[in-house]
Amino acid sequence: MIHLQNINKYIDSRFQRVFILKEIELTIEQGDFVTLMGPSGVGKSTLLNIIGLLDEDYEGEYTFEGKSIKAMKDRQRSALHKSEFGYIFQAYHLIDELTVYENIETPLLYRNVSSAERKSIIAELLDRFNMVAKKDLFPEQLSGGQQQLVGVARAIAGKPKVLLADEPTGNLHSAQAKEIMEVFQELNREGTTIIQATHSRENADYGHRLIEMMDGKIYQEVSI
Amino acid sequence: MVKNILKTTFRSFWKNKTVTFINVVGLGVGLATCILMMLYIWDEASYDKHHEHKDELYRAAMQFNDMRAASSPAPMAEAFKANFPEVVQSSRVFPYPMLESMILSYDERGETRTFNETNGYYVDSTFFDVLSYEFLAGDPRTALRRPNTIVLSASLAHKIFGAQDPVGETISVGLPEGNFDYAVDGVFEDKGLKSHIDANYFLSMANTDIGEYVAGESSWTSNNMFFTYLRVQPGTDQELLGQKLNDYYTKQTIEDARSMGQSVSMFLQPVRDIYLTSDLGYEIGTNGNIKYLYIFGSIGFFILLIACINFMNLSTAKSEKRAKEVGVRKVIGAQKNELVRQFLGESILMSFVALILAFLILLALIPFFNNFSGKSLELLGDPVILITMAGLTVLTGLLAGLYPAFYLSAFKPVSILKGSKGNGYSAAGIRKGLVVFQFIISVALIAMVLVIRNQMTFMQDTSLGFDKQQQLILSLQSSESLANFTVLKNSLENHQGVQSVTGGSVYPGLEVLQDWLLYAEGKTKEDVVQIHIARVANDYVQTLGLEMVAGRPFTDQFSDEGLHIVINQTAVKTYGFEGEEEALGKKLIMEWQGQISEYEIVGVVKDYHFESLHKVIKPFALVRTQSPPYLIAKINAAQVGDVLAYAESSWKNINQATPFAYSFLDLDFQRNYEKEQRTSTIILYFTAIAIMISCIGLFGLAAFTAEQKTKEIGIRKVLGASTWSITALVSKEFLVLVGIAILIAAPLGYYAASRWLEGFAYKIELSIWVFIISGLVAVLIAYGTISFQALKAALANPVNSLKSE
Repeated sequence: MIHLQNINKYIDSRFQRVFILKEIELTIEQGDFVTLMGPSGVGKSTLLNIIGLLDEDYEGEYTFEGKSIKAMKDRQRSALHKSEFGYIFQAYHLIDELTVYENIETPLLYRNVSSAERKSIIAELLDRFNMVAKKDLFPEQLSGGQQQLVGVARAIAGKPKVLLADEPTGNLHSAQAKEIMEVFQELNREGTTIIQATHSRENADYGHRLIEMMDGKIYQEVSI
Repeated sequence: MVKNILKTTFRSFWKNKTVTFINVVGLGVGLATCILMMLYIWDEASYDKHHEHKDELYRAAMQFNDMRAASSPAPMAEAFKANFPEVVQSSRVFPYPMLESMILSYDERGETRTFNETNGYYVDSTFFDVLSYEFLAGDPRTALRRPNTIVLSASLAHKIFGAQDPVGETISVGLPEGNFDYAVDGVFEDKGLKSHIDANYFLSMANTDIGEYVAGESSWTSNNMFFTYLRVQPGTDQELLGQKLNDYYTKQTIEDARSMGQSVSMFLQPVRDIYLTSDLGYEIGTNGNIKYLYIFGSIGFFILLIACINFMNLSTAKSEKRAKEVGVRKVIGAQKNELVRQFLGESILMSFVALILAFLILLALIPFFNNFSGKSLELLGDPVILITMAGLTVLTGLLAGLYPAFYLSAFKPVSILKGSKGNGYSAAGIRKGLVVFQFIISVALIAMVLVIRNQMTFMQDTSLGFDKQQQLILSLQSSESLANFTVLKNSLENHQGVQSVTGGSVYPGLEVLQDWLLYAEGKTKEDVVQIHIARVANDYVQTLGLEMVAGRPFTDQFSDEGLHIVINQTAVKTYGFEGEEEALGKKLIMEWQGQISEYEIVGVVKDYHFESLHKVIKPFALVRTQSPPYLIAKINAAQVGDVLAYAESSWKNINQATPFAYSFLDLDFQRNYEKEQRTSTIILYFTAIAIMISCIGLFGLAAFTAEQKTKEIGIRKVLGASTWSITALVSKEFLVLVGIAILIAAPLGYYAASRWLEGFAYKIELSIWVFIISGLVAVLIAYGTISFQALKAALANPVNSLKSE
């Protein structure tokens, strides 16, 4: 499904070229649950951003379902981005001015989903995450774990094939983290491909593949 | 989608109350000013647009040497129509010369009611076929066809006749020659009527008072006292026709002109442009001035721009807060153009909120403005105005929002969401530039206000060469009061509060309508010089406090039976006399169609400003008359009330049929400066508004800077910085901007001020101090605004700002 071939990303400073990613070779199949691990600054987030089409400034070949990303027009690329990817952030990044309900609704609005359909999708998600009673609250009125659940709900509302999560549990305590990871596992069972970046070995155990990174390179891959 | 965006918008407006307040107030006040100016300009530009043939109407105006005049000779109108097929119809308008008002009286059941009415004009029977008037009674096609008929404005008709139908009633018109009966032929609507002819009533040119004179007046070169209006064939080329008419006119006048060594020509003015653009001699009324419309229009626009700049600056300064939303929206699928639309929607929404405020401001303000400007502007008068207002609001929203929209929507989600500062600082340069721009406008406006004020004070304080205080003016407009001039004069002189009494055809401040072409003895007809003439009674010089530099004035001691003349110093120089004493006894000669009159110079009066300070002192002369149209009395300051009461009672004894009307010379003279007075007040208010809006913007930006520097300030305080040095830290960057603005504004202000001063013959020197003071004022106001935020930041406890880390 996702095929990365010799991906390089670097910054040219005055005296040397600093590589953020170097010679990345990676193939991810549909239904995979991949964990990227490694210390801070190793390039995990950058790699996620490249996979999620948020970062176009790199060298190398990226094909998604057999189609070359570089060869696509902007319009196709953003359509692909919109339809196939969902994002979850460490800092949740909910829109402060919108309620839980409205936050989940926003991606559907950008996808021109009809009003009736929106209602049923959101109702289902709220129900699934036990947030029906909180749907009219604002993000600041929720705990971190609850905010991240809203973040997950928002990310999957558009039914993406791939879910990208950058340190999804970084701001949460362990019980909350466990809850989120169980949700991931369940989504993966239902067929969603998940790629997460994390520091936590425990989180990695929920996945199938563990990719360890070091200095912008893939250091080793372990199957779980 | 729209609902989602509206929600975020309103909630973020609500969250950032200070910023929202600044924006709504700024844009609201800006919109209100702009709309007010729009209404004013609209009103001024709509004169003479109601005529059925508005594009085919012209006025024939004249040029004598280097003087241009709106009036023309009597035979012109008819000759043009008879000789040029392009001229479909022509008509003359004739104001009774040097008569301010006529006395209209009406017998109502044996009781005579009299009205002193100004702005009455004699017109040809073809008048309503050329210019269009809406008749409420009578028929414009037949009105004024019969001799001795009159057409009244609706308000005058109501004043005289109340609800009664005036058509067919008889009004007696009181003139210096006596009383003449006129039959009312019609009533025209004057409410909302905008014409450069500000008429109260029209009299038929065929009549028993001046009719005979007018009919016999056939000279093409003298008595240019008529206003000639032409209606031409549709599609006629103005230039071509003007050329043809001028050729014809030159042929009629060539002989007289050549014999006098004068050059005369005529030209056409489109009637629809007269009010705004015509500024000739002998205009029929006071016209508007397109220059002021440009000034007001651009100031209104600039004020709105200042408010838009506040919006831009605060949006980009606060962008860090919005950046996250942009990042999230982009990640979950928003396109850049969707975000641009969202932000533009926000700014347009903001300006509609501001429009509500503007509306309230205008509702409260328009009555004051009308009162002050003499206009009758209406906010809700015309649906077109509402549509334009909505359009202006959308435009304002776009103007204010375009830059922030593109700036904000260009954020890269990758960098924002990772918590880096993003490109938040790249807007700082533009922000500074915009603040400089705002202050350039404010400083230039302050300089303008100072210059205008200085010039006004200069005009008040400049010695005009005559005594303008406590000069009572009684206008003698009827035959009765004219005949009784001497009786009234003697009666007034009996009162101990009256120092001196005289009379004249003009007094300082009135436009001098009479001029002669004279040449000095020993020279020839080719050397004639135009000289303005005042026909005066004895004691004119003494009453007005004029100073004689040679010879004597007209007084009761001398009979002055012969042709005697007193001239001013400028005339002495212009006629080439060696000196003031040498001019005495010399003769000034008038030669007209073979007749020669010689005026002996008996005195030379020191130059005084017989016109306003707009104009250079020209050659001027006094000649004697027995029946001047104005009585002038110098009275004691302490006894003004007494004298007025006494004057009114003597008037009533002497002139039983004429209403009593008076004015004071200083007020009449001041009227020449009304336009400047008004402009200066409007610009003063505008300046205050511009500074206010600039300052609330600066206040917002300073708050933002202080907020951004909280940590830095905390650390500095812990390290021992004084309150003063921290205040300076926050204020410095803004004061530098204001400083740059002053440097740029000074030359701009200098240019604008000198252009404005060009309108005055006597004016102040522009000094560097004006700009230094305006700069200081701007710095002080800006500093006052910023220092509040700076002090707040400096006085905050560092513990609070540092512990949040």
